[in-house]
Amino acid sequence: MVTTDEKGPLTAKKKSVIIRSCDGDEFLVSESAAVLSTSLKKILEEKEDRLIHLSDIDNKTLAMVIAYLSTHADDGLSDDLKRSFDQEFVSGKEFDVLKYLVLATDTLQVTCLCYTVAKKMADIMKNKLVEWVRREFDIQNDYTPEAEAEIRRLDAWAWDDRQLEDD
Amino acid sequence: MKRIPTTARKENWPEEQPGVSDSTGAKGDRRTTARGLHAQRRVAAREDVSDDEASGSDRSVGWLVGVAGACRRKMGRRRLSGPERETGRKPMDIIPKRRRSNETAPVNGKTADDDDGADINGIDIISNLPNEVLCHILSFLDTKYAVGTSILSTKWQNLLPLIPNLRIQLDDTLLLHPESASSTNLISFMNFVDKLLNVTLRDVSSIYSFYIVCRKIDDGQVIANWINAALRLNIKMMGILIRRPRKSSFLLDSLFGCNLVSLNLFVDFADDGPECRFSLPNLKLLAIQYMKPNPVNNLLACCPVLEYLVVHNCYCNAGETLRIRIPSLKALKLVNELYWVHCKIELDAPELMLRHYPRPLTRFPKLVDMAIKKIDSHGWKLLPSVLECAPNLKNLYLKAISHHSSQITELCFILEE
Repeated sequence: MVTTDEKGPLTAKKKSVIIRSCDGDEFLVSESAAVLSTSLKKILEEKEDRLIHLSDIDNKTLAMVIAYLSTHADDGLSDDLKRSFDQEFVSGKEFDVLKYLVLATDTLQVTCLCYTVAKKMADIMKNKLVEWVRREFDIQNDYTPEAEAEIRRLDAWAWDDRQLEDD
Repeated sequence: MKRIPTTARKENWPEEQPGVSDSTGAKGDRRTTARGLHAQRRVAAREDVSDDEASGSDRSVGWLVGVAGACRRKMGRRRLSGPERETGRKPMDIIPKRRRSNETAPVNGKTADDDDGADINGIDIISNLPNEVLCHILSFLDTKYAVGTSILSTKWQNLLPLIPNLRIQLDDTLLLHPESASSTNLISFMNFVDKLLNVTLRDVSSIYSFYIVCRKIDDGQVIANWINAALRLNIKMMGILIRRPRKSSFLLDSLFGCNLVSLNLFVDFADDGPECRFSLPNLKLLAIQYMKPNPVNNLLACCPVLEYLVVHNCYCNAGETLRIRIPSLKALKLVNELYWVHCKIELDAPELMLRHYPRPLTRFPKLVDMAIKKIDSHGWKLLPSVLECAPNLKNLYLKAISHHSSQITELCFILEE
């Protein structure tokens, strides 16, 4: 699913960039795809080198981001196709995948992907119990019980149904 | 793990705004970036979560927040090191050599031991994201749930005022348990709205829109206070849906002289409605429902730059006249025509070039697109004369209904921009 420029050599007609994940694997990406990431674009503008090491993005996540960038950099695809690709891209992905994805899009500054993933995460959060979200999203509750009770009291309507459920 | 029932169905605003989304400058910038992503709402294949998910209606509307720059500061500390070698590339391998763990990257289905919620590094990844990204997530949630996330951890507290272009959507029936003591819930709702507008958003200079649905609360004075508080937040778009309010004059007075660009006023007045005293100098889109002709006439007389008008269910008695005299009007939509049978409509809108609809008809040289949804027998009779009067008509949309199936007729005239 990941598209790459198979020609490989840097002297190929199409300029390519090598991106290395924190796992050490390298991905060959066309420059037109890489510059959709604001961060990568900046790096490429500053450096001549064509190898970028991303120390906090793993293979799996990086492969997904690159698939996204390559699709969106493909001039041959219509906007409609790109849109349906976006839909498919996050559909069915679990939260554990999404959280690394959103972290990566934040690091790489891929605005439209960040938008898509955030929307998906919001969809997952909808109509869930606080405890469920905390557990599934790995959110550590650092409130004291007193502070939490106070917050629940102040905006009671936000949780009224949940409290009723819990009773 | 309990499932939260959404017992109260949120009612959609009866009609979308015709064509205004791309016309009002306030909305345009957002639409371009969000284009096509609304379809994301339909992300259906969530096998992993669908079991736990209540199928509440989804009215949240997302938009792109300014995430650009959200992480610039991070770039410094994240070592994006330069090249160490140029050759020796190997074919791309998307199978990680060193998987973090099964918990963190399940590919298919759930792993058996992913329930303890511990990240491999023990880091709360989500909460450590920049506020901009968290706000971005919250912007897709209904106001009630966006506020509700503040309980997750201290990091999630007080994020609401940071959301750019915040859309407030409130509904006093939302998840209200019918069997529970509703008065308690209403007080709880009123406290929530008071705190939201007067405390939480105290230091916010502007929000995008304010929509409130009051089916239970009928005190016009209370709602007027909220409207005033919302107007202080420099909103351009407002929607109010109220069932039979008491003290409705307060309600309408609160809108006097405001800078709204778009207003949905769905207020079901029990009687003739109050004497209106309006001034809406910047209003470009107005959608009204349940209003009698006289208040509507008064209202329209106070909207000097109105461009889009949608009138639903105007209760007209025989002999009453609805006067639509708006020089700037570009599009007009009359919904549920049954109510119009006895009503005389005076239409004076030179930009619309559509006069005295439905009878008598004059020529509409500017009319290029016409949609008649749910055309009934009356509409069929009218159609030939409408077509004769529209020599430049290029597109005609018709949807027929059988005579008995529905009593709703909707006519929509769209003019060339």
